[in-house]
Amino acid sequence: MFRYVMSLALKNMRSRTVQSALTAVIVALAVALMVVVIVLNDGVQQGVIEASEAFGVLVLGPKGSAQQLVVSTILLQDVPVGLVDQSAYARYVQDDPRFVVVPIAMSDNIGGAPIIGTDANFFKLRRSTNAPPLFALAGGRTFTADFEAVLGAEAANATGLTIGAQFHSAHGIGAGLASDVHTTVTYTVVGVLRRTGTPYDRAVFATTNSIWQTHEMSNELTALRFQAPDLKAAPDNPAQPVIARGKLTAAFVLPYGVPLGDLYRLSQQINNSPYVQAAFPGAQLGALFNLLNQGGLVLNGVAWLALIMAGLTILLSLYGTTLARRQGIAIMRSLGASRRVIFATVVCEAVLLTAFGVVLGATLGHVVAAGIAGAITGSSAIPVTVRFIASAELPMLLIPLLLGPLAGLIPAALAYRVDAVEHLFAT
Amino acid sequence: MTLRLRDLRHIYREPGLPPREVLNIPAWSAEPGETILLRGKSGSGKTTLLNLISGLLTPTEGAVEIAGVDMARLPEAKRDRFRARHVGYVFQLHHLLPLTALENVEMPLAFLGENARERRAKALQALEAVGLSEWVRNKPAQLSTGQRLRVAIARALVIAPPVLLADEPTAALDGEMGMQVVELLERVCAQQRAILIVASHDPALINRFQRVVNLEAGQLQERVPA
Repeated sequence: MFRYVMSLALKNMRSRTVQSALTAVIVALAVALMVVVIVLNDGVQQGVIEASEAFGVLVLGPKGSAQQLVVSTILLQDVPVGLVDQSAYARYVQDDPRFVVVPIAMSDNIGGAPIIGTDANFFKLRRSTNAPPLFALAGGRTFTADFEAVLGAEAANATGLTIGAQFHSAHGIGAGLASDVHTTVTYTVVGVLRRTGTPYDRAVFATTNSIWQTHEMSNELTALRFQAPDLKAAPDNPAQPVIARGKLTAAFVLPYGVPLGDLYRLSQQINNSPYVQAAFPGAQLGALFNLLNQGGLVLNGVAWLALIMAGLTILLSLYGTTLARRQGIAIMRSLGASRRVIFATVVCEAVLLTAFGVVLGATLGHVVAAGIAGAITGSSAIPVTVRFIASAELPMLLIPLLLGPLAGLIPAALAYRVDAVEHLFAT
Repeated sequence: MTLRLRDLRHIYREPGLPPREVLNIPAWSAEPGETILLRGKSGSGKTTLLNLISGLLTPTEGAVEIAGVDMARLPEAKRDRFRARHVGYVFQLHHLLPLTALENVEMPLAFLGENARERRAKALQALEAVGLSEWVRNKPAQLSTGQRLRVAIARALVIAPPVLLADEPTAALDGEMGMQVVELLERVCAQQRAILIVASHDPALINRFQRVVNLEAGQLQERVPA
């Protein structure tokens, strides 16, 4: 009998295809919204963690927002906090063999791909101590002189540049006006990197000196868009820089065999300076995730509201159908269908509508999330991947599957009460 | 299986109106294989009587017994099942569901719990018996009035009921077609030794039935066919 009741419910749905399809689509949209929120939140967080794990335990930069420092330096999102003299970092970690410092100077771009002024240490970055270097060459070599450029995999695709090609950089870390082009300097591409799944795939690498010289030649040093602190007044910024003359936007610090306590003390010491700050990427990204989660909670609330509305849609749809189908129900009663069978048929219809909606919504949610993830990865090179998160998704999918039949109870009760004689002979 | 009516009274009570007694039948019975024409003016209570016999209505007083079972005394679920097994009902408006002819005819068997294969075989057989083998996949909207009536008859007969009720089966058909339908009902009921009760105004049917019963002022009056 159960199979027959299910088949009757299916036939009822088929007899009003458009209404059933629309109801299922409304459920699907609500479910899809919930899936997208859950899956993307997870995907972005995992992507950010994956993208950031190679870039040091500490990020040094000018005083300002620690989160902005981490996000702009590791994820290449947002603008750098500002500029600070390279010597300011050196004071803390330069002479300590336990630390490797990777300088980062961002100021220019080529076709929207940011040009990162750094040194050979950048190519020694690795996800863990025993892992191979993160950045490996797909072709050519790394830079050995100023104005030699190494392209990240995405940057090579985006700019169309190949080894041996030459280009002029433009001012700013994103694509700008034609008038921003530094025509006085020319970079030559000497290498292309393999894809790493980090935002640096869309960057171009050169020596820090290339960046500085570009602006010296263009007499633009003072026109850098970031307001540098007054270095002369800084007690931890000697008038004569130790390493080289020039400014950086940040530096990654890679500690080797440094106890965590020492690292915290170092960060406190640095943070006591009025001009330099040390940020732990993990802590800053954790705070960022909290912010994302807050946004996710709001979206989740919206999705729940949509789900409740979908439940009401099922109720209204089935209620209207039951009202219109009372004679059919009376006919079934006259043929021997019990009230329980009639009740079960309507509840089954609600279950089927919800089940279709949930399956469609879960699929749609993953497809949309994958699309959005692809777009985020495309624009930021943060490897946002979409996966099925059983622990979060299954309970979330189970709830509408329970809500649907609940919504079907009122129409089912209406069907249950149908008076066979009254509706068989109603004109 | 004998059909018996005992001290049967049925009164309609509607708000704001005085109670109206539509049936008062002290005793009446029919035996297997009998064909009975139920006549009466419009509003005389013919359909109400059929509904009482089918168990769709429960009488205000008295009993409708099929094979000694008073349907009114059965709990509703058992009464539904009893009706599904014992009474076939061909409605005046056919009352087919918007399913195929085959699915319509299968339905009463499904409510009796028969499996899909048995249902299909019996439904196909019933449709063949009414001459609709070629139309099993058609929905009511794709059938003529006569074909729809035949589907309704097949649906009523598929359970091989001991009692077959038909309410004005010839009303929407021309004379020849009406006669064919009545012949069909008679033939199948004779094969199944079912009691056939046809409610009809049609004077052409009077001489075709073994018994003719007039319903007048709520009472059944038997008359011997000429």
